Amino acid sequence: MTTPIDLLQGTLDVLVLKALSWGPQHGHAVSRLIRATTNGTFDVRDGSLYTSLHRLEERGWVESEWGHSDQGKRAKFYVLTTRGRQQLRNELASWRRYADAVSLMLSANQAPS
Amino acid sequence: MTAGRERVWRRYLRVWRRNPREDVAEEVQFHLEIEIEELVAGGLSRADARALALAQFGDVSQAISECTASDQRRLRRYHWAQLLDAMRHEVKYILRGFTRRPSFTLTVIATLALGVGANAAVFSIVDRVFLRPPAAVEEPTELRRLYLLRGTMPGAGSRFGLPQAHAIATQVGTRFPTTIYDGGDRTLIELAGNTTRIVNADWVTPNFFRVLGVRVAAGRDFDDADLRFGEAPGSVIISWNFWQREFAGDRTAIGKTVRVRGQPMTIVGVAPRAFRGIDVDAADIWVPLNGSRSVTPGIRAPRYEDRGTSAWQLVSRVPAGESEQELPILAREAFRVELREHLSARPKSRWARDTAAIVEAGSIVAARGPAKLSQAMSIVALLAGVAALVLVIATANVGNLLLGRAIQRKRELAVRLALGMSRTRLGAQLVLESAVLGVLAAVAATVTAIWVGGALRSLLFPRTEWAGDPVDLRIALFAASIGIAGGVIAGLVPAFELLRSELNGALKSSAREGGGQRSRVRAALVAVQSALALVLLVGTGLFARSLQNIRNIHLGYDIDRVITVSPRDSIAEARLPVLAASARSLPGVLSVALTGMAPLEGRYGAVLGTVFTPEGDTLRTLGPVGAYMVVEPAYLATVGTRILRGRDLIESDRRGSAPVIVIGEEMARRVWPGQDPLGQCLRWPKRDAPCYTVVGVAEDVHGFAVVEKASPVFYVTLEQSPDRLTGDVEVGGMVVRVAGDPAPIVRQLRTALRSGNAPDVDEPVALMADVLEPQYRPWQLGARLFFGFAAIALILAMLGLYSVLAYVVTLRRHELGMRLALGATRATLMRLVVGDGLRHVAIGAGVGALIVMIAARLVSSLLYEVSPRDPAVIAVATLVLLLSACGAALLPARRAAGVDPMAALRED
Repeated sequence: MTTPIDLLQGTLDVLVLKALSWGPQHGHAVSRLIRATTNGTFDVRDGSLYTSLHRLEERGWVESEWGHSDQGKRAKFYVLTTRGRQQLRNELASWRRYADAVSLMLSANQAPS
Repeated sequence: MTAGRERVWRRYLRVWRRNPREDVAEEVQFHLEIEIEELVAGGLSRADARALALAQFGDVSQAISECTASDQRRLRRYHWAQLLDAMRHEVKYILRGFTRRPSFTLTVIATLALGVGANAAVFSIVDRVFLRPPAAVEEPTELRRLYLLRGTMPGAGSRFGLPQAHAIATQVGTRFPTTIYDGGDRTLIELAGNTTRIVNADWVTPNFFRVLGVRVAAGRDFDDADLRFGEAPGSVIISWNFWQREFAGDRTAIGKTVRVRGQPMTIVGVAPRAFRGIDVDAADIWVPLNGSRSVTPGIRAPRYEDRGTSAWQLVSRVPAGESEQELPILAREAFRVELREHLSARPKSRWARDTAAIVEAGSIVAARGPAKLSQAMSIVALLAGVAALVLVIATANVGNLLLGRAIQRKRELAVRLALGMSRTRLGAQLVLESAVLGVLAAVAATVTAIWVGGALRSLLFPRTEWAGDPVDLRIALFAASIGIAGGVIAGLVPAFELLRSELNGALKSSAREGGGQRSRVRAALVAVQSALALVLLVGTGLFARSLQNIRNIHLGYDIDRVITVSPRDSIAEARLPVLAASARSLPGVLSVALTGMAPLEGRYGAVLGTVFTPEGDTLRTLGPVGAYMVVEPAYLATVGTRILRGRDLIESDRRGSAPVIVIGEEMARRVWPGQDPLGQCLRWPKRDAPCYTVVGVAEDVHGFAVVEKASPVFYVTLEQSPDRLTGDVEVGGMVVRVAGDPAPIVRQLRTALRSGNAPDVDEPVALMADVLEPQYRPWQLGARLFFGFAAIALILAMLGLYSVLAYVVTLRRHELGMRLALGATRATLMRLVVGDGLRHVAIGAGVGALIVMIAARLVSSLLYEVSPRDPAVIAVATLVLLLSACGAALLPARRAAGVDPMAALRED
């Protein structure tokens, strides 16, 4: 197993938005989703994850509501708002441009003439 | 969308009721429980699972507090948004209400706007004169102005003679950087191409800008080489405004030569835009004080040696770390040492009494310093109080109007209560409603304050060029805050009334019941307004009387017919005889006389000193108060000073004939008390000089001021003047008496003297009445301003009375109709209503008279020979108030008399 990578705050926010794009989740489920989907690449403390959720709520990108978990316990569920969905789309687009550019450079075989 | 927002709201509200910290704690708790359960299910022991979950979570308490803070921020913002939203709805509702009652709304707004506008206009002046430290100055709180208290020199207060100012600045300067300046000097400046301008010049020591911490915007600051005592200054710094105005902000202006008072000077720098000097009067140029202010040729005494001209002000900086108390101690010491040295050289100097003077350090804002306020500044202070009274009256009136309307709206309000609105909410709504009125009024008031403020400024300080517009953000904020305050206070009146009263009954009752209570409140408001209106009416009367008294002072001249000519330099003086000859031939000129010194020139005549008996003994030492005038024989007749006894000077009183003098009454009283002065003889100016026989007694004259004590003076002809014997006769002035309109002759004389291009600067040719006019101004101003404010107050109070009576008449229609039906005459009904109105006003007048008695001493210093408790003035003011009240009551009374008994009885 390789050493987990530290995550920048902004990147964590995007991951959370993405996790919520599949439907309302409580915090624990978001944590599990991120860890499972990224094969544990990132070293995400759950504490930072909750801070991120509340930050996103403050910005109006997600909303929260108390509900009941599968086990029937009271849990706080987060759901993307319209603005949050828009934000995720923007982040995705810019991420793709960024990743494409980096990979173009890194995979280049020779200097352009 | 709306439904979605609704749902979100409800969700928020649910969260809002919870404690965010508990909320977050519960969320984290849930997370950890699930995590541990999963790990246990994966085969870990409970303790290990717990440890792992916590490690995986990180710092729990930090996460909780960050999340809580975030939630709290979000909720606060939401709460405010909700409140604003509610307010917006409320305001929209209120505005809709206003448009339904436009005349009511306009009346309220206009009333408040009058009150607020008066205050904003006055505040714009108070702010500049009393509150605001000079702009663009570094650390203004460190600056101190030095004041000279109990000094004997004219102008003592914040002004020093230059020798003293110099001694003080030198002494304190090492620890407290100190600058000497003379501000607001109206000066003629000549630019290229023969354009001349009158500017405000500050004459300063070169460290002026450094002490104030002002850095020039272009060019250079003064340096110490710019100060050359005894030489003409060669450099000048101009203000940003002057630079823009005259040079269009062109950089090449620096280095150009201009002539200030005829002296060439080089523009070396431009002051920063925001800096307009440190006095109320904005400065246009700064010139290093070179010791002699007048750089025109023929100046007699170098100014820097002149103790008598106390023009100079001192400003010191108390740097951080220096003790503020040390500054006046050092300054006092320097003042004493300088005075002691001066007196040891000249023991009989007239400044000997200055040993009692005290130097004090005080506010850089001169009006807040320890020195006595100038008359204009006192009027500003008084004006602030008067404007506040007008605001109180306006507020009372608006309260009255709102209360009246609240009663009309009783049913509507009752319905709102019945529909479940709380009383507090309803009250708050009424207050908010009047606050909105206040805001609208403040807007209207700010607009009026712009021109009223400008007019007031030029009335109060006619020669002052103000730094900044009459209305700026501070004034607008001030207007808004007092507008809202006035509106809210006025709104509290009906709100309290409503909360107190039983509104539910209103649903069933008619307007007839429960009105009495509220009309008592309204009557009380009318009484308050009447009281304050009386105070202002009395003020008007007092100032009018003062003005009248001061206009009636006989000055000893015919000031409307006499033009004085007083050249400022010896070249022009030399031309006086020629000018006199040509003036005599001008049509409309009755007589012309040359004199050693024109009257109203700061003092009357030359200093007399001591006169001697025919035997050569000291007859009387009159010192500096005594004066003699060397004149052509026609002088007294020309200026209009009457001969009371004996004869006037005549042409034959010339060299070689018996020397004679005409003396003033005060001279007669002082020198020959209880004796007949005619035929008496005195030797002067020396014991062995010829003996001058008194041939006439003239009435006393005022030397330079409208208000002054008579001083001993006598008149001698030019030919017989003792100066003539030494060949040193000085003709320094001329007086011209005209028959009709003096203006064309003033113009011709100015042209002849080539002085016409600088009308404002020490104008040498002027009608006496025009010279004296500024001295009448403060009283005139007080009378006018009080009149304006009193008129507003009276109108408002009478409107208040009218609206109350009109309301009462509507309320009592039933009763009045009944009375008529039972045999009362219409005249009785009218008397009833008018009497009712007069009673409220009379109570108010009584209270007002009481206020006048108590507040009298506040204005006494601004009045002239009239007691602030003058019974005649109070009586007339009361009469005016009561007559106005009768007028205001007449209309409702007529309506009462016009009640149709049958219709009134059939109602309801």
